[in-house]
Amino acid sequence: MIGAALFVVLGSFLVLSGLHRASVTVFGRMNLPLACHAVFFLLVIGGAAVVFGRLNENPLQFSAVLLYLSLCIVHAELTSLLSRGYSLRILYDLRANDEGLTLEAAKAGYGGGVGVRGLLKKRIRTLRGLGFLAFDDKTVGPLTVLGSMAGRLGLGMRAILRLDNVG
Amino acid sequence: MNVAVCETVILGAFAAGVLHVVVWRVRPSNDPRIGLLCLLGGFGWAFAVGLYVVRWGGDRVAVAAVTFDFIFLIIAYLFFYAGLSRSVSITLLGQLLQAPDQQIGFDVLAGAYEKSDRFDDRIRLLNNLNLVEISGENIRLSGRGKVLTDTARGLCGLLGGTIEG
Repeated sequence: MIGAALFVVLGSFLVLSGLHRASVTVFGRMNLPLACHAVFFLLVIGGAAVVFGRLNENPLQFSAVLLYLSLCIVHAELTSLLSRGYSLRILYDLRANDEGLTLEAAKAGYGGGVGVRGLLKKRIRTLRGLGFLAFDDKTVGPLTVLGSMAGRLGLGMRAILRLDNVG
Repeated sequence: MNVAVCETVILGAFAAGVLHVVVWRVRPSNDPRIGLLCLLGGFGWAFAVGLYVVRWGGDRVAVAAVTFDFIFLIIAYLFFYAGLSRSVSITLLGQLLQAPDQQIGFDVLAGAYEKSDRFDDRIRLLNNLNLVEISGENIRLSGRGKVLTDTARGLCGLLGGTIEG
């Protein structure tokens, strides 16, 4: 029973990874990143339904779906970290400069030359895309109700865990 | 879903969660301490499995169910925590919450960010992890940092993305 559940979970996840990779290639060429996200979301839902359906008689049916979702979260987190990781991009910039950089040069040259301003602008545009705030390239804000709730939740959790010096 | 499994997983997660908050409050740190968090997650899982075995016996399938459920909770929380501990976006939302009319000029925001020590803090963190070497004014990639960067580049190729930052 355990082996069957693991087999179905891993099989479904491998299919998801393959299909998602193909969608990244196709939609990446068409410059449609939102379509990639939509496909990933649909693949996650579809895969969960397949795992649930395939393990109909198995007592691990529900837990197997959760395990499958865990793998999907790892996939999403890894993709996000690789594409948007702040620290990773610093390392990547340093990789292109074997002799090293000064702190100021690393800051100014961050992200292949966009600098810290470019980093902030990208984050703000993403937050605008998520409907968290307004942004017209000159003024950031005000926050929407959703943005306000997310901000309060994040700050509240940081205060509880005493995470002072962050992002 | 088995109610006993569900109860056990919730109790294990609660135990790990309480320990997490206590340790983080008693010993605050600028380091995200992901390794320690995973260790606490492992403790919560062991606690849940132990509790299940003591109360209902060592049924292998039920222990597997507790394990699968717990893996989901740990991974979901790690995903949330990674954003919470280091996300630039959450810091931005917090700054806007405290600003008059919840609005800040982009130049003001970017200027304050450039003057702050957040970038320096990242470099310090990377240095603590032996990924970069600092000598005087100069920062360069360590051997370990080169391996990590090359691995990340390879993974990016496999998953079909680019390291944008």
